Amino acid sequence: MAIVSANNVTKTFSRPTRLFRRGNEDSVTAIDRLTLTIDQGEFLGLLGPNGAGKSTLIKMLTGILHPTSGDIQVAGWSAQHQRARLAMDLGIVFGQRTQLWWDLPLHESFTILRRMYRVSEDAYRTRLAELAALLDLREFWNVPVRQLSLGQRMRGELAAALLHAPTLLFLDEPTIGLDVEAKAAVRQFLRTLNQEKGTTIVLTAHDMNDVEELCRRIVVINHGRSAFDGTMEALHQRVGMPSRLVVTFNHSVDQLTNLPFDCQAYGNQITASFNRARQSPLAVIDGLRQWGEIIDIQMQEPPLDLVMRGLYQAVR
Amino acid sequence: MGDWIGVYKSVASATLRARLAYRWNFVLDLVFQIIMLIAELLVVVLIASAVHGIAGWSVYQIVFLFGLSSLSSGLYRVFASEFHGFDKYLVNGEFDSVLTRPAPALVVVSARSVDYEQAGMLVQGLAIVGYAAWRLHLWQIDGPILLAQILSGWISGGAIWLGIVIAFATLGFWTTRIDDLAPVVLYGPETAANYPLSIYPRAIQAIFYGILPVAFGGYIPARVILHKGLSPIWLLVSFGVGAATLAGAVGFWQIGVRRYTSTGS
Repeated sequence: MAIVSANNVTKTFSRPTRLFRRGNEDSVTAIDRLTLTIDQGEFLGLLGPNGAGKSTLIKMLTGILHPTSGDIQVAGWSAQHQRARLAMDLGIVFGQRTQLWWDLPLHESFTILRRMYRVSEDAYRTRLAELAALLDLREFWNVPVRQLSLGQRMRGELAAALLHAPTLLFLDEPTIGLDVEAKAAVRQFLRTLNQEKGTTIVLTAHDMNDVEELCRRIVVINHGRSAFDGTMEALHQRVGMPSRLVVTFNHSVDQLTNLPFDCQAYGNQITASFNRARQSPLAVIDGLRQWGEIIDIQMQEPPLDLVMRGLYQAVR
Repeated sequence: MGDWIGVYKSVASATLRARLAYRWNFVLDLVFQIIMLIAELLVVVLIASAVHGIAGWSVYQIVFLFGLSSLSSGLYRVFASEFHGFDKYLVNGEFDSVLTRPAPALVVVSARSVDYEQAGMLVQGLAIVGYAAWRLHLWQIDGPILLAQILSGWISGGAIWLGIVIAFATLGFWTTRIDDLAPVVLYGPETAANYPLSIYPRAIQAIFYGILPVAFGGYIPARVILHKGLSPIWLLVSFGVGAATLAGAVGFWQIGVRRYTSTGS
């Protein structure tokens, strides 16, 4: 069953060119006749370069912005006309902004939100106990939010967004700035939430690992339109996996030629760039071995920018 | 829909608990603020006593007016502090989060914080009004009536200032940055309202009666209470102006929010 259905949605912003002069406005189309359906229980990743319309789309789905034309239904409500009612069914985490009460101890935010979302005393107690256990909240329960570490705050944000048991959760950069351990904890929590509670989750992230590990369906927004919609595997087939291998020889090497991948030589090191979807790292090493004795090999994680750039070029 | 007063109350009490956790800090803040206000009051008193009253107002009458005015503007400073400095919501996009709550944006913003540090203004306003009333022998007339009159002036003034500050914040939906205007729209009139308005040129008086109607939040009620040539009916008028200002501001705010949802800036 569809929990989100956006039908032929367009959003244009007018940008006044000069003060006091009207009529002569530039208009920018942020979202261009986009249609998107999300089913209940999905874990969807929303990707796109900056300025592609990604955050405009999220804002429209959550009722913050109204579409210029087209119709958006979320959780059975009109996102445009029933914002406050829709808010009861939504959980929202904007990674870079807090929704907690900055100067108050963490648990006070929950008390306030309980009232705001009219959660019954019983439901509140069970729900909070469960979230506190899953997210390990007790250790910083009494600490004012402004004193929490980023990882602690994010756990607090997640609990706050889920207190009223929303059917749909929007996450914008939920792991931004977190260390490896905290990232893993947040991901594990989200996976459990989606699989065991059946909460539909829509995630936007720059961290490709978040998306790769969690999302079963990817939608790429570019120039205000859906440029790709499918599984992670399908996306990989399309974009590949740009990778880098740094190989050190026991003697200095010149620029190598005639290899089926791109090489940069520097002293006795060679940096090979290749597409892991088409070539295995072993094949690359085999190819390099003929040039001399290898004393060290390092695999570099593909730089995110490179992956993203490849992706946006591929879907243009 | 919803229990918005309950939401506000839980924010107010949680904030108070948090502030009281650092009790001495809180007390010191209050003391400093009261010292600042006393300094401000001293300026008024000095000017007034040097010229033996201003515009036919004796020193204690002016002190009374000062107290009533700080009571009025103190209300918004404590309970609607978020509208003061509202442009931070628009500059860094915090207003988006406001719109994701199941409550009217006005309620969500109000319930973001309560600024007890400004409560010194109310404490001190009450003390000043009480002291001036005593020195002016106002209590001898009729205690309960006097109290009702002061309360009515306070409520009218509170509503007027709340309206002004909400309307001022709403301008931000069009201009984004509004803080630079605050001295003109908020602080200037706030100080000006401490004096009998008849001392100002007509054009400025017109502003305080018509555009930023602070006259009805201090000067007019004070004239009634101090028997300075206005009948008690003017307390009702002030009350009406207060209600109208607040209602107008709330309407304006809703237009502002609608603009935000269609432009996102």
